[in-house]
Amino acid sequence: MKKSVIVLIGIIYIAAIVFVGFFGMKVTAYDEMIYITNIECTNEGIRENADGTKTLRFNYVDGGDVLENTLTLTYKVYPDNSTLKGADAATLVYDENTTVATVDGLHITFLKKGVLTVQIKSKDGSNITETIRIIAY
Amino acid sequence: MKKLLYTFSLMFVMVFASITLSACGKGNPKSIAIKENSISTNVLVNEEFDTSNLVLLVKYENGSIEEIAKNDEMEISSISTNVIGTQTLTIKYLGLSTSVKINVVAREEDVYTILGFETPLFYTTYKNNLKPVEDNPTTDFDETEEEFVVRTNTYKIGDDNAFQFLPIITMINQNGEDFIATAYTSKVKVEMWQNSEYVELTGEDLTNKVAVDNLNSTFDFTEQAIGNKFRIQVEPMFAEDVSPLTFECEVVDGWNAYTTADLSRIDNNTATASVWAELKAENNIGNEQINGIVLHNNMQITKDDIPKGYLFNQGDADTNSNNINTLRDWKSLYTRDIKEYETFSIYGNYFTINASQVPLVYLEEENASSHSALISFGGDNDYAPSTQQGVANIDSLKIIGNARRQENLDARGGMMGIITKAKEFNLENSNIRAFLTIIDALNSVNPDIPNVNTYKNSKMFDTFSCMFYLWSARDNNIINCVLKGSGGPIIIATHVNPEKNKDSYSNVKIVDSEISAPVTGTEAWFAYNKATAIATLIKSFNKAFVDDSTTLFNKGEIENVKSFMNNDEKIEFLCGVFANNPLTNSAELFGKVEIVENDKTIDILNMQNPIIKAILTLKPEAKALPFFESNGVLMTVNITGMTGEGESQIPTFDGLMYVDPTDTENPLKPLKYYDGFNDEAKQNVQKFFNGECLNLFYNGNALGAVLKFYNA
Repeated sequence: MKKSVIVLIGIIYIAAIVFVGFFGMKVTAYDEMIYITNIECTNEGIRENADGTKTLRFNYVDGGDVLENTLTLTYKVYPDNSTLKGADAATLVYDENTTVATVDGLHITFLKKGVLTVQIKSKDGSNITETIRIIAY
Repeated sequence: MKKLLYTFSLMFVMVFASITLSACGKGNPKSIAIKENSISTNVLVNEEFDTSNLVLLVKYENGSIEEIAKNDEMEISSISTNVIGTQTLTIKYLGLSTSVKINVVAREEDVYTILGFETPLFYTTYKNNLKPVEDNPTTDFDETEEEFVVRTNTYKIGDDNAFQFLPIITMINQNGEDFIATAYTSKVKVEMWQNSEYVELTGEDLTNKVAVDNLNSTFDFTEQAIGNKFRIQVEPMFAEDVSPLTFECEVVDGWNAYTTADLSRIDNNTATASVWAELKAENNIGNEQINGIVLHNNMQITKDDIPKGYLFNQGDADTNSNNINTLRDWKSLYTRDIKEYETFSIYGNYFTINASQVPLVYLEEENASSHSALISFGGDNDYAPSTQQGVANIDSLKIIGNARRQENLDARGGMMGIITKAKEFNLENSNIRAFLTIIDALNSVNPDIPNVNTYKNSKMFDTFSCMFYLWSARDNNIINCVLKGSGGPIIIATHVNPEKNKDSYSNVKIVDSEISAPVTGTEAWFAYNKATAIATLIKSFNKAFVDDSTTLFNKGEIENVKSFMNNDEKIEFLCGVFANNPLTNSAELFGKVEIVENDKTIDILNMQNPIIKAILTLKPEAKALPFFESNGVLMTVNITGMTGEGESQIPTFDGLMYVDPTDTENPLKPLKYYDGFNDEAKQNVQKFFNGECLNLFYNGNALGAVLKFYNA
């Protein structure tokens, strides 16, 4: 490559910087991380307690099948433009030694009457949680 | 006469009292509060309410706080324990009063049904944090960042105050209403790890180690318990079909912290004591001497948890519409003065301190950035310690800050994570993200006594600026860590005022760690540091390596030619070694960066390497030249001119030059045209490209930089 070509490349490089600066085009250097700031459980019938936790009552059916005794938690994360969204945004934290229920993703299958306290926890490092006490009665 | 004598006596007493108070310097008592845990807030129905251990915190006008044990001058209201429910206990002292809610709780065998008896939420959170985390490939985020490196640490409990292990007890009352019990009568078993097995403690063996309150479910360990492992088992006294819960722990020297307010116990700075006094008094927090703090919960810090003196408040003389409710600069939130022979530890227990809602620092100057930090092991005044600091430790803690890598300048007002001026700082198994800078390590007391900082098994992500800012911080060892996503260089190691003190430099050793932060050089950090032009300049040099026409390598003589730009035209600026101001006369720049993988050193940048020192004094044709070092081999580029104006100036060049350190008269040999380019030189060039990193030096200014090498 001739020296003049190298000089030309340099001029084009500088011109590009000036062009972008003048016309205000945004150069995206990287994908910014937008962290979750709030999680809200959206199941119907949820009740807020004085200590900030929430309670959900679930009608346990004695002798019922898996479908009848399974509760699926639903939630919404904020802000809307957070990097993680939808079902990928959070996970359930619960006592894995519980004998009251089994948990698969957001599906909680009760094995008997009792209580299971779960946290819906963000997965993006923001450590945002919503605590739900589910009473199967 | 009697009346006159009485009046005189009274006046004398008043004058003497006021002189005494003035001499004390405290002023009058301003408020009183009940010291946390000095009385129980739960009492069983029909049992005597015990106030014998009551301690009042008396706050004086000058902000100082005094602890007063129960005495006859205190007027204490009564609690009727024959009535179930909440009652108010009022205490009057020195003309002031304070009150607290007391729960008179029923015997659960009488009235209630236990519906749920679950592990306390904190313990479930702890257990969950020990689990490995899987990445979800369908998202733009690497979920494994959340995983702690070491996930086998036993749960820690402090010995300074009672630890509560209260299960989540869901009860149903006679009306069928559910509620959570705040106390219950429990059957308790305490075992201690001895000779490879747990042995149940009874009698004196038990009371020497721990005081158990089986109504409030608390365990107050003694100093004798420190360093020992215990297993606790609890179950309700009056319930059938409820499985007992067990819990393993290790006792350490520290205060058990349950709420965000407890974090204020970290702060013992004499210069900020009066700033904290009001908030501490509101939360019944005394000034106990502690050597550590043990987290038992995730803690979220909001504006309400910050002393007013650290904020621009409505009504402050210097508050305006731009700065109201923002943080003042140079105000680190929790400042710890650690005496030279003391150690202070923060035991995270895998919990999180979330400071994402802390307001940004208000900055007046356009190019300034915040000087405030979340935690400062920083001595006894606002800025610099007057005495040598001791040892600081942080273990198994997750911290989230209020700044992140972003493309606008807002985050330059974010907090730094940790400022350390300790003679020894150990960060172990922690996970920290989203700060202006995560570690700001300094040695501002005595650079002649080198401080040693070790960052081990830790992960750091997403900073607006660099992750490590080392300011005369002598030895910094980064071992088995992950550092990813800084807005500028990952590490800046500064030699402070080298013309005055040659010892005030910073070394870095990186061992078996993953460090990466690809940048274009146009990010906000580079913009406000006016470093975009330098990044552009550095990137332009890359042409010398990869452009076929300007290198030897198109001839196929050199294998694995490398570039220091990736496919997205980003560079990885791993570490920069600078002086804080231009070097004058005989001053020299010190600083060393060493990268080790699997016991093998893969890169060393040493500003005191004799060859580097000699090369940096070269000024061929009065030009400033960049020198590249990899695997101990040096090269430079043959600059033929400059194009562009001002900061946009970039050099034009004509090929690489090999630096022959054996030819002190004429060490620069143009690779392309050099007639004597022999096998030895060729082998050295090949050795150069076999390196993992590229060290960049500049003879115009004294600086060194470590960049990552990519296969071209």
